[in-house]
Amino acid sequence: MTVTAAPPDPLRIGGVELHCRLIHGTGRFASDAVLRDCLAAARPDMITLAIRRLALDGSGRNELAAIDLSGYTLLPNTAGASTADQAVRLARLARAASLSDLIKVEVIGDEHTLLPDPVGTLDATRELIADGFTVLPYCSDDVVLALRLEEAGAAAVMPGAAPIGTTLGIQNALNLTLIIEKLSVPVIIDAGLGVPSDAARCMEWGAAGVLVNTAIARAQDPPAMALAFAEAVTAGRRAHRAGRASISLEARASSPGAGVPAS
Amino acid sequence: MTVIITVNGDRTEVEDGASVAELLHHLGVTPKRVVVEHNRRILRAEDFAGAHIAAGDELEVVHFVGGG
Repeated sequence: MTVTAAPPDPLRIGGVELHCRLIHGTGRFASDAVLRDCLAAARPDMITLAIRRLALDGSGRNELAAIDLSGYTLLPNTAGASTADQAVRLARLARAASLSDLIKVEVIGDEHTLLPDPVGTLDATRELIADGFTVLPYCSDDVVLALRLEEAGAAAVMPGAAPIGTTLGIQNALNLTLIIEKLSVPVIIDAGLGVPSDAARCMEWGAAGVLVNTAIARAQDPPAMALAFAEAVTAGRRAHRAGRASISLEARASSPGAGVPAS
Repeated sequence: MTVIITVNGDRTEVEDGASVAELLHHLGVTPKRVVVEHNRRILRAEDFAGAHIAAGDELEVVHFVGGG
């Protein structure tokens, strides 16, 4: 078989179709120009955003100033919420701003580790689905919680690899692989990824996508790292579809045993 | 007559009965970029001119920023 161009392999979530499976965060970038260059390098289809008070005294910078948001599928988050009610309120504001029903539910349960509140996340997910949202909850790597979120009607489930912003990489490979294996909805690995090989590994396991922010934003050369993550996601996805070779505990020569020239 | 309202957590003085559109103009805010929550009710840009402000009202003026 000859491999030429990559076959179409879009990720469908709700009514949207993503050809790039790297979801690109937009926070913590040194400037709007750096973010713009990262997006140009990685060419994501979907980007995440947060909703915040406008500084009415004109202070504060906006990293999004140089970005044409109309070129992307927007995934607003409910970051800043520590209760389901706060998440629902932020989600409704985000819907009014984005004119879309997509929402990444984020309910933080512990302000030191920024780990998500499982109960609040599930409550907010249920309430927002009832209100017509397409919900992508950010959650911990608990397998049963992920199943409950799927049962509640989440369009995709987004377990974290490590606490937000740490870039520690994959901390619980078993749970992430079990979540990917057990869920029918897309599983997007979110939070804590550090290097492109982390993203590739998730994709090789069968993750539908990854969300990366800090690992790109705080890299020494963010646009180059953005491209590296995009390539890793593509490679990992392609490897998943190709199917890995089975593991053998017995060594097997790759080269023929016969025909070695005699000395 | 002016009344005291709260905008993004700060006490602000505004003409009684002013519209949200007038308030945003006074604050120098471009309406297209923001969503306003007026006493917990969400307003879109097309609603700003018809929403009127009274004493004690609470408004949140929000917009998208970078996030993960």
